[in-house]
Amino acid sequence: MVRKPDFKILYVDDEPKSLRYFKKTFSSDFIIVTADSGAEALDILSDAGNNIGILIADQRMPEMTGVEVIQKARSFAPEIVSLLITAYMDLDVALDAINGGHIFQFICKPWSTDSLKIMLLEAAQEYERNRHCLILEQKNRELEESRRTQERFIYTLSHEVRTPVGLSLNYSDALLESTLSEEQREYATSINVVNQSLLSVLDNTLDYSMWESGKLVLHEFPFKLSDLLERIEQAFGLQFKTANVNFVLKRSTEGIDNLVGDPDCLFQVLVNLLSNAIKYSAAGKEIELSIEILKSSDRSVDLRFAVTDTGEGIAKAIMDRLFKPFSQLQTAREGSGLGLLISKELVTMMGGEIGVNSEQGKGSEFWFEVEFWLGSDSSDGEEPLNGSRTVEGIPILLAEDSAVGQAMVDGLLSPGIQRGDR
Amino acid sequence: MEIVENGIDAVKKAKQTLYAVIILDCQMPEMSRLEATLAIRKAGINRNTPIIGLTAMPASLLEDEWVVAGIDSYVTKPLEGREFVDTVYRLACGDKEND
Repeated sequence: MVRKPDFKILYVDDEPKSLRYFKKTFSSDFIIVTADSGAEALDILSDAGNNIGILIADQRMPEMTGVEVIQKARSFAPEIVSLLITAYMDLDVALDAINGGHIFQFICKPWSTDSLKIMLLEAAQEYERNRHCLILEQKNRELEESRRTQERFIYTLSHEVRTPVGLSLNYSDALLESTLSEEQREYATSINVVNQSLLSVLDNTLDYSMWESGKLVLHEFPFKLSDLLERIEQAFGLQFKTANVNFVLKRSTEGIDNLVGDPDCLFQVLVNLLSNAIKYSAAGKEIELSIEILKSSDRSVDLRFAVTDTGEGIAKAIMDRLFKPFSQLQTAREGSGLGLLISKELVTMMGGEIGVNSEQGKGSEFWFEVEFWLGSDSSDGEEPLNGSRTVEGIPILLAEDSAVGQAMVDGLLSPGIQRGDR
Repeated sequence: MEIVENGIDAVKKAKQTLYAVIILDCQMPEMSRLEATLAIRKAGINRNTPIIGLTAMPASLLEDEWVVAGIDSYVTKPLEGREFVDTVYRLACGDKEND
């Protein structure tokens, strides 16, 4: 014997004879519940514990028609499959109800047991489908929610970690400026280099989670290319030294220094490409950063940045996958793998293009091209930006809860106090 | 330079004294930076004082705060000496010269 479905069929009809007959006929295949009015039917339906899967309603009932019962039932249990029993004269009503998506099928009175049974089996299948859909939708919502939670978690975590890493970097900077023994200097240098690379991993992670949730945006303002390059050399100086690679900066951008764009974005792409170059270059080799003008007008300039290493190079098959999420050649090369992906997103956001040329055994060239607006020289007539400016005597209010942070700002803004003294 | 440890004290100070620049850290107890900035802007005398936010994340992620509260500039931690001093200087003096 076929097992009865776990859900029930509710049949509502004002004729007791029909109810009795229906129950007798189908109770061997289904669990049947009956009601003799629309109100009673809705009462039963409103209790989810009754587990009604199929609703059969007679159209012609006093007080509430079958279609009305079905429409109301749908409002609180949309997964229930509804059948309408009509006489031929009510066919229009039934067709309207089908077209309106309210009912699954209609049954004409008088009904034949066989065809009604087939219809009930089909309705049962439909109900199972509806139920599965609901479960899937629910699961989908849960997954979506957990993904968001995870995203927030990653974001918060990287953010929380970034602050102490940044401070640690500041202090190792300060340490390196003080008088140290050879051995101490070596240790402080290692701390500094590790902190730098930690910071760039954190930046990439933050950007990646922002990018995933579509919140990564450009922040454009005037900046100096020379300042940016200085920042790069400052950030990488120790890393180049530690890795024992020779850094060559080839800048052929005469007359162009004041740009408008997102320098942090540009900085991060360069950091990522240079970090990779260091990672994959053997000691004693050379890493070159070249910047050249592709095209320039009165208002804008197309710049091409290229980081060239003399490492082992990259196989052709792998090159295509380089900029794709988590598909980098991690087997052969270590790294967080986010760097190139993020670089691609950042360059794309800046409206540029990124790519790689490589020949195995000879090395690789990672390049990108971005257009910048030309800025005006903002420092005209002012004293040069050589750090000689002081903010002595300017009334400043600082709100900062950590003593370390206070000391840091105070040290930077108070003239005569060198960072190394602290 | 006067130093306070939280947003509430910063707002109190800002009601009494005119500053050339106000520097607010990102995470402070008692009152968030966004709230503090809005309160300082409302308080009166420092309505137009440049406010610098110290942040450990890219400024682009702080757009809400930036747009809503009108923080003038962000300086990313770790503080880079010259950049930081220049920003403070530029906001404290530079903008006035251009007025």
